[in-house]
Amino acid sequence: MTRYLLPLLLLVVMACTGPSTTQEAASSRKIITAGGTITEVVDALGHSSEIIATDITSTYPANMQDLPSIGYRNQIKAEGILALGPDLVLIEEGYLTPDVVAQLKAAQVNIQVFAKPKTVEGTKKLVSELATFFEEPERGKEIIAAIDADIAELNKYLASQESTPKAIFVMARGPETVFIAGDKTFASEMFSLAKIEGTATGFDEFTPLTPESLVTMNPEYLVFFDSGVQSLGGTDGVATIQGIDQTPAFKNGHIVALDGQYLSGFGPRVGKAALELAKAVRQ
Amino acid sequence: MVPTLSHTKIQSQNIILLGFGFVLGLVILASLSLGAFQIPFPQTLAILFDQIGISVGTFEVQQENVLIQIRVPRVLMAMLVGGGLGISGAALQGLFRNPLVEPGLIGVSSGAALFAVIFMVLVPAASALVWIKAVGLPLFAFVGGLIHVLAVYYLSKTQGKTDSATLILAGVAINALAASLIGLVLFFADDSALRSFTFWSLGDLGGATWSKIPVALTLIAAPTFLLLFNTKQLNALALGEQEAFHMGVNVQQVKLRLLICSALVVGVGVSMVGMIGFVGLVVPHLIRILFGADHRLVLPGSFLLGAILLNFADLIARLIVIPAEMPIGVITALVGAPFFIWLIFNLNKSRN
Amino acid sequence: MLKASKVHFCIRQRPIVAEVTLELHPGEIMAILGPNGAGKSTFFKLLSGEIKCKHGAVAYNGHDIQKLKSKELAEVRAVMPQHSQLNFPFTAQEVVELGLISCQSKHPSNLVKEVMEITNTTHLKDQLFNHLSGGEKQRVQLARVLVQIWEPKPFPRYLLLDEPTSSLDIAQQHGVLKVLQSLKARNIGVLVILHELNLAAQYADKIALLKNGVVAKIGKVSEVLEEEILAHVFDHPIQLIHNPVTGGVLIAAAAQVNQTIPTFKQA
Repeated sequence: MTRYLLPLLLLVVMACTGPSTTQEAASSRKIITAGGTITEVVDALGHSSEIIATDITSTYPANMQDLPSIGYRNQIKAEGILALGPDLVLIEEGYLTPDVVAQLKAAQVNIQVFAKPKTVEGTKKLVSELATFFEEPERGKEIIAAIDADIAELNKYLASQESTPKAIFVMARGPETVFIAGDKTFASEMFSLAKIEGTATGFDEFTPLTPESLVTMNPEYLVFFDSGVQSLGGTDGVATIQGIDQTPAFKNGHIVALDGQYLSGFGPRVGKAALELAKAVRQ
Repeated sequence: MVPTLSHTKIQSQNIILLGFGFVLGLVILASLSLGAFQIPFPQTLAILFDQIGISVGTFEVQQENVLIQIRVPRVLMAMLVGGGLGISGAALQGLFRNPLVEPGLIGVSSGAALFAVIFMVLVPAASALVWIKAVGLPLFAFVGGLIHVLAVYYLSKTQGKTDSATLILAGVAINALAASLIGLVLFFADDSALRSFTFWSLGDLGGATWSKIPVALTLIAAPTFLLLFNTKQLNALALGEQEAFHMGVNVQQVKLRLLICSALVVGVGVSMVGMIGFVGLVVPHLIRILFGADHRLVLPGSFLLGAILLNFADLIARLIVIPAEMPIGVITALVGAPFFIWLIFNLNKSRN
Repeated sequence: MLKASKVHFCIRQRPIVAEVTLELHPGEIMAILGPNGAGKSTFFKLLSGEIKCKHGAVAYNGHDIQKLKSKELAEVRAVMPQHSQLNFPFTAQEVVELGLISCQSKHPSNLVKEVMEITNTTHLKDQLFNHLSGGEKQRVQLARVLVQIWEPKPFPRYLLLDEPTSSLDIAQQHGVLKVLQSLKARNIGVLVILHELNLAAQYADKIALLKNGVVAKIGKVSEVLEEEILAHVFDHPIQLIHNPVTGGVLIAAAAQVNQTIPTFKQA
């Protein structure tokens, strides 16, 4: 073993610095995106044809899922991304593990990190950052103007409504894995946009659903992701969640389901999503 | 079999170790050449030789980046962790005088993982002094592994011997405790930089970067060398602690040394790549079956064979579901668990 | 000289070995005899250094055993246990070679060869230790402990054996004791716990009779082997017969006539 140690150590020492040449961006770029919202904004800016691969959460536009997939969150590996030969990798902050980001940077891939929007302001900031990056300032302004218009329409609708319905958001991955969204989540922010009283308060992030807490929250509406309802086996399957049948929401059949990326992505369609949500709880 | 004169016996042992070293070299070359990102073999060689200043061909910058920045650290990490698991498995088997022992089974790995997770919760990811985190995490994991192995040791000791059944039971109990505590800590922690439960329970070499290599190298190489100086004592210990004492071995000192070195090697490995099971069980056995029980061969042989096997398993993990990766613990379990069953079967047979 | 002075050991206030004094000189074989529960094994462990005595002292060649490191102790005495469990596939030769650890020998392979020849284990050398019969295992163990003290040194060495003949047939029993006898000429003193009284009678120079942790009698074989003291120690009538082969005595159990044997309370 000692005989191989010396050349190996030599390899280690010599290889610690890589070459310092940089990649030049070709006009037909190859982009990989990680994070559904980023993909959406890139598409809105008119550059989705440059995307060669993306992650599992990039479901809008729908044809993105026909592209090769790099995986999901911390299961994504650096070599898998590099094997596809991208010129540019756009990632949502915290989506990839820090080790993979470090590896990609060490491999001198052009990698840009963007904060995930958690509010409408965040959405507009992301749009302008990406617009600047892609050198599409006009397009960026158009998108932001469209978002403002959507929000104006939302507020106009809300002004004509008196009620503030009570609702909670339920994250379901099968009947045994059910969580409720509390404060500082996308759900609390969307609820406040749609003038909904979120009754799951007093705790941050997500907490496992318990039958007793359900009753205490007493929601008039239950909001799910489409995928969540699917994992329960359809709207009938919602009844399998312990304690759900005690809520006025369930008794009145007030179950609202929206697409995951649409509802939680805070992408360019955020205003439309908030309006749809606001209308869904005021049927 | 092995010649009778001790001089040529040592010679033949050295030849065997050299053979292992050669195979390790081949496996390393294969691991560097293959992966999700295609690098033709001539380019691989060209890049490697270029690192030591010899030009044998051209290659692309991207190929060099993938090979040097991603694959080389990964292969090195697999070597260090695999070798460490192998040699610590052999040392623990010698210490407990029981061939059914391995770091995963008796709770060293899960103890190390638990303390690693606790450390990551107590020391937030974005804190200053990255250096402290880089060294502190593996060392804290070492403490966890050490505490667990001591607990199992004292739980299973009766009349100076460690009974197999009690040992496995103690290991099961400690493992269950550690696993539930890990789940608990991960549940309450909201730092997403804390790696997932599957990372800890199935292992993942994908996060290997150059920044981790110096720490891994020092903290695994040093105790490994120390272990290699205890082969004679391990041989003596095989007859029993009292017999070893009668032959002049300072038993308490040797036991402590073995425990600390094994826990350190395993702790460091676990803190970096999660728990990878069965390597520490299978590797020493293969060496003993093939070449006999002399620890002078078993210890270094286990290091080399462990490095070979883990690299090979990682290669399979990386190739089998491209561009995704199979968790490496799945592969080691698929091979290791049937081997373990065969072992138990054989042990019972020889007892009857 | 191996000297035990008023060695005392208790378990929960109950004396297992009560103030035993004994001297073993190089060039002699001392047999420790006594019924079960006499404290032979405990005394043996006190002499070998495995356990520490509460009062009293054990000294090898004038050095107190407590002050000797295990390595120094290993150079001066070797111990053959009654049973050993080996869980790894060592060959018989590898087991014998274990004895080399403490004795920095210049010619280890010759030493091992010589010792294995003497113990008649050379033909077993490449077999796995765990595949050997009980008797073969004991002879290999004997070879191992002999390796530890075989080489001539400027100081006397000692060999302690705990029932080394238990799994051996009659030929092997006498073979082992003849080997022990040959050690006398090598400046080695032998202390052996035996169950077979006649082996002791034939091969030992001195005998120590232990009962209830106390030395009932110690001395030359001819002095110690005496019907009344033997009957007292072993709680059974003994008859001594003249041994025509050796010129010594044969110990036989006498017929049990309806007489009450005085029984002594266990301490």
